[in-house]
Amino acid sequence: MSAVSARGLTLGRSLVDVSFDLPLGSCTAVLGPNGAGKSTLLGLLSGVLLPDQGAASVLGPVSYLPEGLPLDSLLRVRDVVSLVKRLPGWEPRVADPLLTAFELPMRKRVNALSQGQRVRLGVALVLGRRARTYLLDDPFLGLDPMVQVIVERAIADRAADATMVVACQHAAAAERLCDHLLFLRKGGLQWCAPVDAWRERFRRVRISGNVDAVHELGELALLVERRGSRLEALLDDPAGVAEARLRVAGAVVESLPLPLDELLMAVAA
Amino acid sequence: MSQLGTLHHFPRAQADRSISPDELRSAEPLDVPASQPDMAEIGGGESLRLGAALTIRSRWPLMAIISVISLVVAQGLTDTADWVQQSAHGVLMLMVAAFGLIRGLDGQGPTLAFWRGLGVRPASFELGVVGVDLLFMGALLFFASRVTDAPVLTLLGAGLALVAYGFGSATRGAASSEGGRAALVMAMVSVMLTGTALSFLASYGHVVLALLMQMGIIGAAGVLSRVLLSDWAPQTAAVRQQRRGHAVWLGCALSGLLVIPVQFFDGMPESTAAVPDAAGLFVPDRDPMSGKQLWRVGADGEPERLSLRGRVLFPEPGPHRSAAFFHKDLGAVASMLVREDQGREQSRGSLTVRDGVHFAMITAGGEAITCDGPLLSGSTAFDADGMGATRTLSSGEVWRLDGDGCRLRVEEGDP
Repeated sequence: MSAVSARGLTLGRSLVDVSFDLPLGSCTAVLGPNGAGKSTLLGLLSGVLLPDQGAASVLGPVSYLPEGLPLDSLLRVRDVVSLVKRLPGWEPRVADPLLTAFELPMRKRVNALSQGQRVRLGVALVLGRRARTYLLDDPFLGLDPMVQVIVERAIADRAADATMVVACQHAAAAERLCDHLLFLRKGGLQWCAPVDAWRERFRRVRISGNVDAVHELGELALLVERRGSRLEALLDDPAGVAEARLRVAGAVVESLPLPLDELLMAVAA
Repeated sequence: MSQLGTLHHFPRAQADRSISPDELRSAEPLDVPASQPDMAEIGGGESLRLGAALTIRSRWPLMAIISVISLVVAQGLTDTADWVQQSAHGVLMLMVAAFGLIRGLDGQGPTLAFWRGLGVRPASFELGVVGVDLLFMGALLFFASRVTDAPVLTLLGAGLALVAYGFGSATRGAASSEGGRAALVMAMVSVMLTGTALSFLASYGHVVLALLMQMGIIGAAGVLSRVLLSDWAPQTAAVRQQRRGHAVWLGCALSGLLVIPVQFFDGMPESTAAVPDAAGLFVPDRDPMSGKQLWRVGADGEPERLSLRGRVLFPEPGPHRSAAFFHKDLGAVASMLVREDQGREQSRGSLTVRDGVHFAMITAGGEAITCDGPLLSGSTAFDADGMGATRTLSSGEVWRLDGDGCRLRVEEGDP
């Protein structure tokens, strides 16, 4: 069963003909370079933005954290918290520890908060409400590493019984948290699949022995770099035939870990 | 942080260079509730209450400042000179209008995205915002009407406030910046004033009435469009890189032109409680604000309307009820019964400052007879048949006004 699905979602040039399905209970990281359409996608899924074409359906109730937490600058933090607390679904069990951990200045006006404090406030308010689907746009923006850990834990906690869509620039955090990846580039959907599928398709290998065997790879090699007498190659190998070809050609092949951020950089390039 | 649960839902969680999955995992297992305790969507009532509460919490300083100034200004409305009272009243009305404009232009920015993203229903939310704004403006106007004795000016203030709020509201989808929207408001004012002028010229209507009607129509249309279009998000236009938003503002401005046919076809009220005076002229009670308020019993016994062109002073019920008006040709006041308390008369709604009481009359034939220049303070005695009057000035001069004209009486008892 899909908790989030999009069909031909289009808005201006920011997002063009994007279709996907995200299973119930999944945590999906929306990744891509700046201007790829991540915020637009989450805005459309939340209903804050209206598509030119296509449609999206999201299992509700939805809790959406817009990028940078735009709020009326005259409001004080305590006012915002107080207003959100009145809405159905507020869970003190989750929200109160977050508000305490984030050490938010309750008397300050929202416009006096730093970027990181705004994000913390937004995360506490959005995750403090019980929803079936959470849409978080850059929940790590401007956070220091310690707070980021707390936010990651909170997201992980909520994701245990909800569907989570997290747009972010932190591939490492996405890798830790999510089981699905959705990669956007220039407004188009490049890839949407479970992390497993990414790992099966994209691999980094070290080639030694007959390094000339790398020519057997053809388009299967996204990137080849020389490391002394050896080569390291990033493979886009959906059929899983690349390593066999290399070995047949006399090369020694050794698998290497492939961090997601490196993979994304290579794919984006 | 044990309350935050575990990561056991994520079998795919990968090892990381800086934080391991173990670090993310809490000591205690996640306490997943067996049932979903509260998964209700945010309803219309909750959205409405949120809109109202948000408005109060974010705008209470503005409301407080205006309330305090109103109280201070109200002090100027008692036991002071006429001009002070009039100025204070004007300031009070302008403040309500300014509040209306500020609140009309306010909002509909990206700040609403957060609330909408939580599942708040936009129309109900907006209704809550509009409700608080209008309630506050209504309270200010009620206060003004209680502390002052100028219902017409209060009514104009209400119209001005509503139209300012409506104008601001109608431009919400037209431009992203408040400066751009303010420019559109000016365009709407131009359209409205053009409509007022057309209405007045086309129907011999009362310019103030035409203006009030337009204010009501455009203000209501603006507020209605604000609520109905609350689903429209300016961010969508921004993402589309649209330079222009929708043109609802123009539709609202043009809707004010409805006043032209309404005024043109406006006829005699079905029944009037007014009794024609001796000259056959009367003011229908049910048409108190109309410029067509001076009626005459014609030769056939049927009421007929006198075409008035000029600014009408509003009559007051009572023994001196009359339809006083500036006669267009002579530029002077013509009146069956001239009121001498000019200060009070001005505060009742005249927008014209007069140097003195002009003494004039209109005959049963509709002819206006005026005296040259103002006849300053004195007393007026009207003939029993209503066909003439004698005015004795405090200087001792006695003026006679009747069907033969206006002249200085040189000998007592000699007209």
